[in-house]
Amino acid sequence: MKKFESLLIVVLLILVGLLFIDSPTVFSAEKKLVKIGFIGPLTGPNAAVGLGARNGGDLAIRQANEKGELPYKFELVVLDDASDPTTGVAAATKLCTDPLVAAATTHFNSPVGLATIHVFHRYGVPQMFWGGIHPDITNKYNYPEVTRICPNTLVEHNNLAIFVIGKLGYKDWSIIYDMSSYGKNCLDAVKPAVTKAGARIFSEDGIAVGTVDFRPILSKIKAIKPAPQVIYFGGVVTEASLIKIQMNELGMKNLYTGVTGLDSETFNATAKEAAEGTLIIGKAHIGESSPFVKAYKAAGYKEYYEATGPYAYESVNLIIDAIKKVGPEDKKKLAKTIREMEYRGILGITQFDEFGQTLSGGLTVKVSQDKKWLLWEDSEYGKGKRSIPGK
Amino acid sequence: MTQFIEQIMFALMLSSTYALISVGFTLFFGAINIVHFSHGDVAMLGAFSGIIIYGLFGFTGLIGNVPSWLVTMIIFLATFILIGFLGTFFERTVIKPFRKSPLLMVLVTTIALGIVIRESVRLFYPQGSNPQVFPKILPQMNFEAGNLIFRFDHLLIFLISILLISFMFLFINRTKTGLAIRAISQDIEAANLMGINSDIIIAITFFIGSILAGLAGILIGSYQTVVRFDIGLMGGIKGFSAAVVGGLGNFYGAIVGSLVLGFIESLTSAYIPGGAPYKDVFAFIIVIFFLVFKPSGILGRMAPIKI
Repeated sequence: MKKFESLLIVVLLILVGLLFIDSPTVFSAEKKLVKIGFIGPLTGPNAAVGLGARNGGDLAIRQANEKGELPYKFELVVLDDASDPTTGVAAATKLCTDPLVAAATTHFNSPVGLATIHVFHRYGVPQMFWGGIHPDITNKYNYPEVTRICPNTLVEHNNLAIFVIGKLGYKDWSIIYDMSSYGKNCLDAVKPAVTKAGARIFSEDGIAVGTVDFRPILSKIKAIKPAPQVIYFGGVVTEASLIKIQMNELGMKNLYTGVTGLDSETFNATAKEAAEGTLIIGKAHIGESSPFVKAYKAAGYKEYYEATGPYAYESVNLIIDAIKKVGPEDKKKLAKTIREMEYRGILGITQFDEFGQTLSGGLTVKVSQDKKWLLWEDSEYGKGKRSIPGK
Repeated sequence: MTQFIEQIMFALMLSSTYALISVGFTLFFGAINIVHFSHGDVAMLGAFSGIIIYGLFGFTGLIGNVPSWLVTMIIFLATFILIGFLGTFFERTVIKPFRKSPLLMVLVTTIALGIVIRESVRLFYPQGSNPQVFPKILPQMNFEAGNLIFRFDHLLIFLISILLISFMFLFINRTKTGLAIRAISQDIEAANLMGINSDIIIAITFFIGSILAGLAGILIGSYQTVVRFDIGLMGGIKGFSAAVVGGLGNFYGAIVGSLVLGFIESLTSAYIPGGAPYKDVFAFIIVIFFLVFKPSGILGRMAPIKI
């Protein structure tokens, strides 16, 4: 009998203990718990970028809690979408049905995002994309809950047109694109962007991914009179570098340009000397000495922050900033506030357009100088010591 | 006009890369009646052997100290030996056991061998899935004529291709070993009775054919500037198709077939609006056309009923 009593006491103690653990108000009685959701690919082929983003989001939460300026204790609820739309929808539903979740930052893969926006819209939970570049995510349904902090192809090409046409004054363009969905997205974005900026398009050629011999197409472009000043390529590094090598073989002196698909040092490693003078719209530049990188390293995360870490970090910070203004309870108001914010952070100024798409997303202008991508303003081209081809 | 001359040059270059592969198919089919479907992958191994040997030179710090023509010669020679023996090894291990089996068996084993070669390179070569930059082992000079640029390295690739193919032709038709190879292809048992050691002759055929593939790999790598583990797949199919179009088993046929494919691909890219992504489609429609209406190919005499 005594044994039973002591067992009962132990069980009761455990139960009470569990109660305490489950209720955070006990530990910080004055602070209310606010959850921010994170969904990304933590397993599968894109796990590296997913983990980098998760750490970025986690860092923002840690910093907010350390500062303790707000009457809230923040918690990041991390869920895996495994780059799979079905898993993503399940994770989104789990987040949205938790009343403590104020908003969420989500997804690397556009197909997953295109599936989950409907869930967040139905539950009225603000959703901000740190990855996923398909224009339809924001533009097709224009749900008030959905925003995106990373640039999409439309934004990238608008920035390209602003720089190459607006600033450099190169108005005669030839377009080459690959037939993948990314290449076609680029084609759909570059045409309106450059024609709106006053450019003339002289030619438009599709190529199959995996092509290695572009000489017939390039020779055709070379024969166009008057010669186009710009050859634009919508695609990724392998084909991009081969095109540039073969342009040089043919003695073509056009400006060669593209967007973030080319922003990898592999381009320079493959094209070598031929890469010189290529100008692109590149991804955000987060230097080694930036406060984000320093804090990230100090926090001791195992994984590298990847290209996605800064976006997730910025996204969580922006959500926290919005919560600071209107509080976490009224999600409709929170979504509206997020869309109207003018936030200054590591990506520069973030402002959303009428579809909830960021206007800049920290995009940079980069130029290949001595087999390296350099920021335009740091390069000898930007300083006027070397001149860009094509004039 | 400039554009037209350029297009013809590119078509000729493309054709010569196809011819190097298709002549190999012709050798194996014409001489020993097999279709060696991993021939393109052996060529890919040749290209990678070129990269690795050049890398060894860089590693030992010899580049810059040794004249570049010597480096190029050593790369050609080492690939020559390496791929030649590797090809013979493949014959001994994968093809010989099926000599008396139906042809279909060899077809399947060579396809399987091709997959093994490709996947091994992808797995064991550092970052094997990525395209690898092929070193510039040929002199990078060019001379300009108006708007036209003639590249010395392209000219060399073209000339070496013609030279290799001519050597192959002379070897088969003018030497005693060549005679033995042809004898085996006609009747292996009769050839054995005449005192020809068929094992050795077949090994020699594979040695020669693989050398041709290995050197083709180096030339194709030099022309395309990057190589990837899977270039042998498409290269092999194109080379085989060229051989079929020209007439499988016929040397001239392989060359004519390569010219047909090379010109169709280049000219569709250049002159059919929006044709570039469909160049392979056009090329293979021609192949199907030949298989249906003239299965013996342009120059072939007998229909290749065996495959």
